[in-house]
Amino acid sequence: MTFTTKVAAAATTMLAAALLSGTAMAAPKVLMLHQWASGNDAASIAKLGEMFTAAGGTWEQTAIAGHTANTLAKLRADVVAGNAPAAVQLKGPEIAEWNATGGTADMDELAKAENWDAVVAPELLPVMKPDGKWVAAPMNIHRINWIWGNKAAMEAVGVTELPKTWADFNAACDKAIAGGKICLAHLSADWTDATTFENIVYGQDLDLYRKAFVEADVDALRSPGMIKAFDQMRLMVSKYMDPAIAGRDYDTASNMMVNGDALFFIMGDWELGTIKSVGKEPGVDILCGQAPTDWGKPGFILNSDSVVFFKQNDPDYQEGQKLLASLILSPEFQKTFNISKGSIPARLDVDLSDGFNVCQQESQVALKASIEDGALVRSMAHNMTVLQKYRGAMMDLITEFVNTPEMTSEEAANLMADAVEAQM
Amino acid sequence: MAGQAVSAGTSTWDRIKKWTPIFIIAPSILASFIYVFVFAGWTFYISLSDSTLLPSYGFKGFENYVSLWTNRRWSVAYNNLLFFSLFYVTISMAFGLLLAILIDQRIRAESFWRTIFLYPLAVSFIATGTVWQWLYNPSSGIQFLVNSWGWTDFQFALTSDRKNAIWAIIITGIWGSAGFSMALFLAGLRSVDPDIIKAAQIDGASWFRTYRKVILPTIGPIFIAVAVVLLQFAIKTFDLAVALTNSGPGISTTFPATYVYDFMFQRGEIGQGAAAAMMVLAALAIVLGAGRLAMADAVYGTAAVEDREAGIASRRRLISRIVIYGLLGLISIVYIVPFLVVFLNSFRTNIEIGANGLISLPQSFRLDAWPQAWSDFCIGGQCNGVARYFWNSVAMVIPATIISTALGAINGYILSKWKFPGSEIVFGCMLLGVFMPGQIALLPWAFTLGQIGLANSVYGLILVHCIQGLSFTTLFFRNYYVSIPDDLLKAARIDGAGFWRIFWKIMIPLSPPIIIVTVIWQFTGIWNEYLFGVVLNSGSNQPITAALVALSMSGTTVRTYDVMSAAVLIGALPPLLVYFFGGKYFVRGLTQGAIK
Repeated sequence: MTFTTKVAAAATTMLAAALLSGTAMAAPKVLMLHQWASGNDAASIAKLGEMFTAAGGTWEQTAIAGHTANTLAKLRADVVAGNAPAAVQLKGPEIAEWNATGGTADMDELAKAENWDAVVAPELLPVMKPDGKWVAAPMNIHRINWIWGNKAAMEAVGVTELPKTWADFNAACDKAIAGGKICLAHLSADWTDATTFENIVYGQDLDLYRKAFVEADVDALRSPGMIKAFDQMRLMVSKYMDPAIAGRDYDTASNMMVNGDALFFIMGDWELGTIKSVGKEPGVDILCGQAPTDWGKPGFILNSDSVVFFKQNDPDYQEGQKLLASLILSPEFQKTFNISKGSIPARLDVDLSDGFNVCQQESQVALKASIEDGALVRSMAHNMTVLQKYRGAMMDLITEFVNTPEMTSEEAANLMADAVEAQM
Repeated sequence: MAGQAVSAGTSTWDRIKKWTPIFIIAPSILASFIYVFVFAGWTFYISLSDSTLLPSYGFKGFENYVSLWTNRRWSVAYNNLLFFSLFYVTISMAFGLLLAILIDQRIRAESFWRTIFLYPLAVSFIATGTVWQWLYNPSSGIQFLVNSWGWTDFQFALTSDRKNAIWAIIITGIWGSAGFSMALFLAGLRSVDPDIIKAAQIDGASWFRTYRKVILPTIGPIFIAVAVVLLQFAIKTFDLAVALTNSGPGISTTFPATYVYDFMFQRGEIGQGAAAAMMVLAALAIVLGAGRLAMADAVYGTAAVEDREAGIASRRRLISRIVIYGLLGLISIVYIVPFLVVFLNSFRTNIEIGANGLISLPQSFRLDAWPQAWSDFCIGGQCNGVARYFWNSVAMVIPATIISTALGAINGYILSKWKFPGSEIVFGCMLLGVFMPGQIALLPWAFTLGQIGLANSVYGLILVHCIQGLSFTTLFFRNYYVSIPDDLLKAARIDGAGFWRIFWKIMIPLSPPIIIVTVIWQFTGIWNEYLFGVVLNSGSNQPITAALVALSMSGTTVRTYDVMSAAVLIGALPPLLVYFFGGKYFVRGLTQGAIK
């Protein structure tokens, strides 16, 4: 082949490629950094990759297993190296923090074109638009305030329905103990201890939850209401849980409830995936209900996974970001992703009657009702409210309280307030 | 001293030759200087800054230190470190000394016993921590086993008990490093002049008395060396705490190094994390300084390792063979069991493991887990098994080991035989690199690799490991070469041999023991490193340790013990082989180089 024919051949190939890829010259590409490395989560994210590829994009991902610390360390290292990934799984106040560093991409144009403001749950808007511009796309809404109950085990000890209030809960637990069962399955880790505890605070006193866990108000953290919540937590740890909670893995705890060794499990709706994976039917064998509240209205503690976009110079990646964001917010993805993950769509206009189970349908009803009633809150334990430094201080103390029998509720409330104050 | 160069030739060529060593060592000095001073200096500045999510340079004085010292978790962390250091160091030393004395009794199949006690050193703390976590787990490990024997009241749940969880880390830490102190002590015992021992015995000293009054005092410097090395391990404790208890229950097993990582990377409190990192560095500096003071009068150049036959023959009958072999046998069970548990579990089904616990003889025999772990299992979102991670590690460890060892040899040669004004200071500075905790260097490395275009590549990791390894390899070779008599070189120089000729013809032929020690050290260290592998590289460029971490911390999903076992063994195989074939030289080489 002569030089000229080579050039001609190359030119033809390029032209053909350009024609094939349609009007846009840029070939959409994305590299997504996330922590859904295994199981259900990995399968759900693989679905996103398939949709992205089917839409003509080049999909790459870095999945970092284990602690969030590793994902964040990776992101920090990439940003410091001047090599920020196009899309990163980040949530809550972290979106605002990274937005403040000036590294996030502005997705407003696409958001306007697709009318995101109108369809996304209102509680998520300030999170996704930290200073008025869309920088992130929400994938789902998880409900944290669930209590799961093993129907057979409940009946065996004479508990007929899921407890509605904390007094109900304690009464049911006393029956469980009398019947020789563990009342509440649990595993002790900072995030699980904090999940249970925030459910107590929320269920006992909605305003206290807002002041303490959303606004990080030091006086609220020290208040008698908080001491009361710690009292309930101590009662549950010392009496209603078994002694071997520390060092247990998630499956073991979940199986205790699923197999009927324990009556209840207080956990977010990702538990649905675990229940299904062992062949049980949610709503039939395993009951789902709102975690106890003493104020008798539909409540919702919200957690949402989202993808934040970081500024890219390469037009291919900019195109890829738009394509990815558009896919994430498409009703199709919101549906397929959330059916298996146990959560519900971040868009409120998706119909759940097809494919979603009864618990998920109930979740959407509760979400809408709690928005109207003003009872909706974001989750502290799942990093949707206060800055990580305050959350870390709170969670450290809560998990220390759980694992320290001699720590009193007064001490715990004071120490938690002190620890948060020290971070201010 | 510069004057050592033979003649004061005045030709340009002579002057160039005189500068050769300095030219050759200059890049290493520069790299070490950047690594030690620029990276640590940067971290110090950051600790005084208002950095939160990302490094920023607004000065705010010592506020970060103030909030560090008012943080409860930090006080838990340093109290843990004090407690851990005390027991970990003393018990590791006592235990290592016991093993060394037992092995020194001219036992049969010595290398077999030694290999048993040394193999934990070859395995990464990530793997060790994962396996021990299984053993400590009350519902499937030791407690489950004993309960199933009928002793149903038996309780052994260290990792789930806040007050005692630190003992789980201490025990596992001792298991992991007592072999190292054994090797050092053994090297020391073997260097004691047999005549002294003989003299003591002629005087009628008992076996015990001979050890207490004669042998042990002469190896005093080794006690200090072992203590310094172990303390250094303790201060850097990170991987083990992460894999074993992940700081729990609650925050009860937080360590300073995990605190640094949490604050710098998870909480987005880089300033306070940097302040904690500086405290870690200060602690290391104190240990180093104290160690050097104590060792100042230590004899450099331990007596040549004479054959010990003569000295030991008389020690032999002093202690009952039965006691020796009995003790060795008992202890080696503790050493072999964790390995055996993993090995057997890789052939059992998950269902069987669930029913009979982790410690049990296989009822079934399946090879499925192995090919699954190697090429099918889903890790990090891709279902290709550990194979690609394994090959990444191979591609990283081989060049990094060769380059860092070669540079160490040349640097050690120059710093011992071609001293120049300031070369001792240079050596001292390079030595500081030994003490740098990894967390300090993480962000500077990310920045550097990004600047030179090596971010997220195996080449980047090779560069990192070469430079981080320089201080170790240089230290090993320098101390080894110091004991080679200068006369040998003088004679060669008079015969007209130059810098390289002496290196190739005299130094290298004398070096095999220290080369083997260095290669083992670097190979296992680089292969088992996980922090840099996880953070600096992503996706398909990560090393095997990243895959193991991904497997062992799978969060909310079902644990597949069979596949994890196979993966742990695959990941541990290369360093185990290196130890297995090189272990014989390890003890010998340590005597001559590393411990001084």
